Formats: sequence, structure tokens, C-alpha cells
Amino acid sequence: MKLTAELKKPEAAAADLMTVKNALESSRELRLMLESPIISADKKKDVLSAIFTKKIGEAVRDYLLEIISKGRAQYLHQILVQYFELRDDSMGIVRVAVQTPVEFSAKQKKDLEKHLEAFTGKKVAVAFSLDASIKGGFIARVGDTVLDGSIRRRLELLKSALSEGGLKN
Amino acid sequence: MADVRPDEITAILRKQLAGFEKEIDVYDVGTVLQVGDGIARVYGLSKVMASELVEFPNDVFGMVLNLEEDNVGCMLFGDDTKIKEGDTVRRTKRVVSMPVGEAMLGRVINPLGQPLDGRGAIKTEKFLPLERKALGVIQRQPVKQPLQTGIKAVDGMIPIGRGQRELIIGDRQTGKTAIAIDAIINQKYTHTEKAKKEGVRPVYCIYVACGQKASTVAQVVTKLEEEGAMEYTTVIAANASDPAPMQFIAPYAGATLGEFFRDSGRDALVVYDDLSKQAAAYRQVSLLLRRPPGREAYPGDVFYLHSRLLERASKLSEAEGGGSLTALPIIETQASDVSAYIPTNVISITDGQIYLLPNLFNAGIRPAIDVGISVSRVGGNAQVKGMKKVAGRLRLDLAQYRELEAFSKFGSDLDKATQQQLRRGARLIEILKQGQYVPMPVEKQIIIIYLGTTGKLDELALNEIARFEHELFEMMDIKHNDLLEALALKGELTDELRNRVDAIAKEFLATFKPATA
Repeated sequence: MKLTAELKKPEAAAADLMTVKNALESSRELRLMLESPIISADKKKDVLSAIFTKKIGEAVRDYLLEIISKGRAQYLHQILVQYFELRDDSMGIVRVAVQTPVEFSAKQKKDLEKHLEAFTGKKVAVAFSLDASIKGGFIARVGDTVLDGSIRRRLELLKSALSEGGLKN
Repeated sequence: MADVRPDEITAILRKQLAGFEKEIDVYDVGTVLQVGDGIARVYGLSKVMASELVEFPNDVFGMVLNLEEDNVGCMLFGDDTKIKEGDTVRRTKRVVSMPVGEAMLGRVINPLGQPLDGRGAIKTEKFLPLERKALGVIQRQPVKQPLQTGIKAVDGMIPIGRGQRELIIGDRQTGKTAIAIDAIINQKYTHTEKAKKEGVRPVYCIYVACGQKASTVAQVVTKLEEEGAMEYTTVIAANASDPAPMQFIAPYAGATLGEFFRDSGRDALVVYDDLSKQAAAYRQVSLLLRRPPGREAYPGDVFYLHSRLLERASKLSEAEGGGSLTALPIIETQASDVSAYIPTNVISITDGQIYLLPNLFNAGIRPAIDVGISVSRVGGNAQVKGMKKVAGRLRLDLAQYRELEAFSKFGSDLDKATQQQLRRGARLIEILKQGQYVPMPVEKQIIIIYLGTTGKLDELALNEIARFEHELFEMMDIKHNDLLEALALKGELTDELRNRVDAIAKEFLATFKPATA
């Protein structure tokens, strides 16, 4: 269902779908409207057309309208999330969330990406965010696996190592 | 006082921290979806293994039980109030395991191997998983060495061999724990020089208290300490107040520690006190994990729960070192109902059972063993020769006595032979009575049972028998120690020894004065 959209111009379609996904994520009202069982499918279609007609390609718009007419409007967001996961998979991209205490320089980011690529063996798409509580270093999360090079974690390990050492003596 | 130099501190710290690597720590995580009632459901942890140990915040550990499509069900070994929804769960990449080693002897620990007795850390080098597959047929050999419990009724008629699984079953307050504790205390002699000379190998003991009151456990530990039995014993305690998952894994921890001794070619005895409470704890965890309930609301695999535990008891072949792990599981019945689910299960798994009856207990027959329905399916091969000889007669006499006992209630017009049998039976029952915490060496057991079954005590009054036995052995300890030693060494009443015992008994009977009322 999601891959059909890729047939002609996959890049453009993906960009369009991303626009929709972002819109859904940024607007709570839009999400609620789509999930609401009270609003009729036709009404939902009208709203979507009004919002997106100018912004996205026809194929994608028709696809969205088709989903709604099948009564699947409330799953639209999930479908999109799933689509991007499949797309990443097929393109060999892993998404990595990296937390750093301070903003990394462009070079640091490049280096980190290179290392992460070596670690995962795939292309990485890194999302950086700031978290002062990790004190230093960085934490990278690839799926369920965490690469923890933070000062906070090392302090935790140091604490347990010291307390165990204390018991042994 | 000497000054502490800063560089000294640095040096020590450096030494302590050697091996503390400056590397990136890689681990797998998940997120707590739901927590409560001692279990947690976790999202993520996609590579986690079944029964793997996982770490929650605040030093709470959990064990993975359910691997489902989109979540992982864990049971918690700690306080579930310390965990919140959304907390991060970390894999440890090891299956739930415990430290094992000689250092465990004399200690009271919890099922994860952490000390509970406040005597500091336990220095061990090895870790073994709690759940281990039982050994196959090739690695085993038949049970053939006796494990003396020091209880006349047990060693005589329901003998236990090393590597056997003998169930102790009975209502509350019938002395189940007492039998197990006596058996542990009696292993003290196996650690002496004398036992070494006789070729008896030392037995290391493990007492698993599962769902017991903390006060009861404290009492048991104190008693074992008093008797000097803690030197070769480990107590694994998951008290009634501990989380159900702890009670559930406690017997496995006992088996793991026992296997450590067994696999190093030694003999071990492990008491599971008691498995009905473990089954109840497992039922709780299972129901909370939404596994479907079966009979008596126990989950479908409650039989496997006990069978995989008890299968781990074994006698290893000589090629494997010849070690053994003997199991004494305890089951508490409700109103002597042995046809309930858990009792029937465990009865069918074990190599025999010791039944304890409340009415016998109340009638003053203690230990309250019903020798009619108690059996040992393999222990006979392991019995000391001399004991086997005298006990065969004992079993027969008691069976006849029980049959006649019912008749005797009708009146006194019984013929002489019947009266004689009743007389004999009553005396044998009296002989089998024994106080708590006074295990008797096997050579003395042989002598008293020999005297009883050959009718030497028929002329004594019933209430004199206990005193007679006591005084006889007191005298023999002083005057005829060589005879006892010879009997212990040979393990058999040879003609020569028998003649001597006859003579001694005759002489002693002549001088034995009934107490003047």
C-alpha cells in the first residue's frame, strides 16, 4: 500500500508525505478531526484537499483521499510513520538520536556520523538534541541499542565500581 | 596518628579503578509501559533473552518471563513502587544467575546470592545460571550410597540414598521441617575424621526457605548454629514478605548451589521448604502476566515447574566425578488431602515420600511418620547392609501389628500368638519414637532395631523403653565403644558382633531397674 506511491517519483512522493506527516504532527486539531468518528469522510476529504492541494503532488493527494474514503482516516498518521520506517529500511538508513550537553560543531557532528556509520554498517540519519544533564560526552540511540559515552554514565559506573570495591576490602 | 598523604590516596584510588575503562558503554534499553503487582511490561528490549536479568532504575532487577509481540513481561525482584512508567530498562545480557562457591557455607543469602546475615560480602569466583537443564541418562548412575538422616523410622524403613528425591509431606505442624533439619544436623558426622575412616563422604547442605515466616527461618538458623551445622550449610531465604518472584526462584537457587557441589565431585543435600508455597508464588506471577489459569488456578506448566527442579537431583557417574545432589522437597497439605493438585504432582515426580499424619503427632508418636504409606522407591539399594537385614523384619512386624491393632480393640480374648504380636508391635512403635534434634548414628539404630525385632525388649514396660534405650547406649558408649566402631566400619551385624550384642543386652536387661513409681 505504501510502496505503490514510490512507483513514479519516489523522492517527490516521499517529500509530499513528509509534508503531510509534519502537518499532522504539528496540528493537534487536524489529528483530532481525522480521528473523530462524527465528522463524515466527505468532510474530511474536503479539508485535506483544501490544505494540501497546492502543496503536494496529485498522486499523493489521491492516495490520502482514498484512505479516507475507505474509512481509515484515523490510521493515517500510523501509516505514514510506518511508511518512513520501511523507506529507511529499504534505503539502508538508520535513524539515530544523539543527545549532547552542548551544541556540537559541524566537524564534530561529521566525525560522530562517520563513527556511527562504522558501528551500524548502514547510513545514518542523526537527530541531535541538547541535554545538559549528561554533563559531557554524548549518548546515541540506535533502535533499542544505546551507545553511552556520557560523563553521567561513567560517573554511575564509577560509583558502583567503588562501592563494590569497598565491600571487597 | 600518621598523616595520610594525598598521593597515597591517589595511588589507592588508581589501583581500585584499574580496569575501569574509558570506553563507550553499549547497552540495549527498553521503556516501562506498565508496572504494578511485582511485574512490569516493557516496550523495546528487542534482543532480550527469555529469563534474562534486566536492570531497572533504583537498583531494582527483573527477570524476563514473557516475550510477546510488542512487549516484554518481566517480574521484579525488588520494590515495584520505585519504578515509574516510562523508566528506562537496561539489558544485562546474562540469564538470571547467582554466585556459587565454598564461601557460601555458613551464610544466609537471598536467592540472588546476596547475603542477608549482615556478615559482609561473599567472596566467590563463579556464577551459575539459576535455571539449568537437568543432566541426561549418560551422566548418571543408580543411587547406591546411603544418606543417613539419623532418624530411626526413616533410616530403617524409608531409607534415602544420595542423589534421591524424597518428598516430605504432611499437614501444618506435623514436623516436616523438623525431619529435614534433623537430616541436616545429622550430616555433621560426615564431616568428621571418623566418617572419613568409614568411607563416608561429607555432605554439604542447603536449606531453602521459601515463603516461610522470617521468625521461623531465624529459629532454624539459630538451631543449626547451635548444633554446629552451619559450618557446612547454606540457608537460602525468600521469606513470606519477599516479592513472589523471589519465592519462585528460591528453590532453583538452592539447586544451583547444590549442583556446584555435585559437579565438583562432592555430595550435597538440599531441602526445599516448601514447594507448595513456591507453586503459589508462581501462580501469582503467572496470573499477573495473564497466563491462562488451569486447575486450582495454577498455570499449565506448574508440573514442569517442579519436575525440572527435582530432576536436577542426581547421582553422577564416576566419569563425571561421582558427586550427588539429594533433594528433600517439602509439601504442606490441607487437611491431609494428598489428592490436591500440587501434592499429587510432586508425589509422582519424587522417588518416594514420607507421610506425616497429625493424628499420629497428637498421639505422641513423633516423628509422626505413617510407615504404612511412606515409601522410598530407590533408597533400599542404598541402605547399609546390616540395617537392611534388621529393618526387613521391622517392616513386616509393624504391618502385622497394624492389621491386628484394629481387632484388639474388640476385647482381650485373643490367643497367645496374637497377643505376642501386639506386644511386639507396640514396642517397635515405641522404639521408632525419637526426640527432635537428637539424630542417632546408624550403628546404634541397627542395635536397637535388632533388639526390638528379635523380641529382647518384649518384657519391658512400654514407658520404660525410651529410658532403656538411652541408658543402654550411654553404657555402650563407655564400655563397648569398640563394638560400635566395628559395626559402623563393617555396616553389618556379623555373627560375632551379634553374639556380643546379645550378651550385652542380656546383661544390661538383668541390671536394668524399672523406675519405682
